[in-house]
Amino acid sequence: MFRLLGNKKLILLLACLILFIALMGLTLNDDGRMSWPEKFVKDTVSYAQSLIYIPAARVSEFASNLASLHLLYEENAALKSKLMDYARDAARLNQLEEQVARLEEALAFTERQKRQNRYIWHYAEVVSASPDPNVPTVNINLGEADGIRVNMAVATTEGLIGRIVSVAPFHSTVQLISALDYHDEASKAIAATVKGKPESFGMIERMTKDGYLEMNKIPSADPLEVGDTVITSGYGGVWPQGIEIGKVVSRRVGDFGITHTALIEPSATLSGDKLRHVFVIEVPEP
Amino acid sequence: MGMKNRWLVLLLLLFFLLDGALFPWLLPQPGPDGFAVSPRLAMMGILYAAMFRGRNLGLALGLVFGFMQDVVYDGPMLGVHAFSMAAASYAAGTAGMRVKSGFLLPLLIVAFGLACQEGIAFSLYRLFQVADMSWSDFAVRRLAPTLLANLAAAAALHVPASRKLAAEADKRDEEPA
Repeated sequence: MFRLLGNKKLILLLACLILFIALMGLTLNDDGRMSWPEKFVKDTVSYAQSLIYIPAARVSEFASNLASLHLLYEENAALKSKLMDYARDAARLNQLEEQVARLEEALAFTERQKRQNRYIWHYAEVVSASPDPNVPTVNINLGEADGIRVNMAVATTEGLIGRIVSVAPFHSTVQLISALDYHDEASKAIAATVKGKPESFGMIERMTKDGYLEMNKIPSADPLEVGDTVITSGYGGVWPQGIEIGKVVSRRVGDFGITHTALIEPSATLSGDKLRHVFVIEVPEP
Repeated sequence: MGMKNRWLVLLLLLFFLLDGALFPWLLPQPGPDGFAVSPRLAMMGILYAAMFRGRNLGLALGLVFGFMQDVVYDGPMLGVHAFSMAAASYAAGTAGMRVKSGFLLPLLIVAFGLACQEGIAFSLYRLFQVADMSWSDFAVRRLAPTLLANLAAAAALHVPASRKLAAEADKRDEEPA
């Protein structure tokens, strides 16, 4: 019978444990800065993964397109009616933009104030997804060289999906909002409001086990109702304004009885989704 | 590093790339109910290396690939995978020291190694309050599906992998117990 662990090895193991726990504690709430070896490893691995992920995505999309071929006519009709809505909205948008410009002029807005809401949407492709469900992140093929910075919001055409947590020169990591959790100081709560009811307010602080976003701190007199569309309010500075988050599915009195809590069904299918195309939203610096 | 280990490392690198780039398209992604299968092909390769080529090699590979996983997918803190993968492959290497043949026993040791790794990683996340899942939920929704899927892959790859590794293992890889 051989000995499982000698005394020396046991002490070594304990020393390693202490060392690693210290390392984890030190890097727990880091600000997303990376040292050059980290950047090098991340860029190299991400580049190699993009050579696999993107073709795999194409094959998978092709297969699912074949499977849904019979839905083509219905989809076409739906898209046409949507296109008509767009044409109508575009006309309205032009008119409103003109009006806003006129009002900004009249109120003597500075250039900085005018620029504030002109977001730049950077298109990016996903190159890999974290295999560990405790770490819901994906890597995208835009990095520092493309103007991507830590804490920029990331969305798909459906809605908000997360924020940038670390940036290498040519690739960056997106933490999905399924990682939101109020125990975790590193995850940033989202200040939210309701589309069409700007007086509404709440903080989206975590994702529940069943995949709903929990919106807390809603004043009891708030006009928020089931079925409303929740968007980011822009308060707090991390998340830009007006990005769709989801629909309200329920509202109840919160744990302490003072404020209300609502459950939001995310618009972008976050969990169970195979992400492909995303947009990084850059808010112009003042 | 010998010629034989170079091939092993290259293969593990490929496995590591596939884990994050190909398997998201093949496996069901984490659903809203929390059921998730994580592809751990690289970890399985390391466990096999630890069993057939010695636990020290397993420890080193676990450290390197664990750190790579920590950096590439940018977890909430650095070192979770490095520690859990190194410790689990060392443990599996210790358990598998005398096992060089057969089918069921090596697979059992791989299962033990995988469970160790997932368990250590999850307990570290719980310790730092990054995960708020309960242990029973973790066991049913994360560990069980992950073990099942990865063991199926291990069973499929077992015969070629063990034959190759056992044939190439020379005497100098045997460490004194």
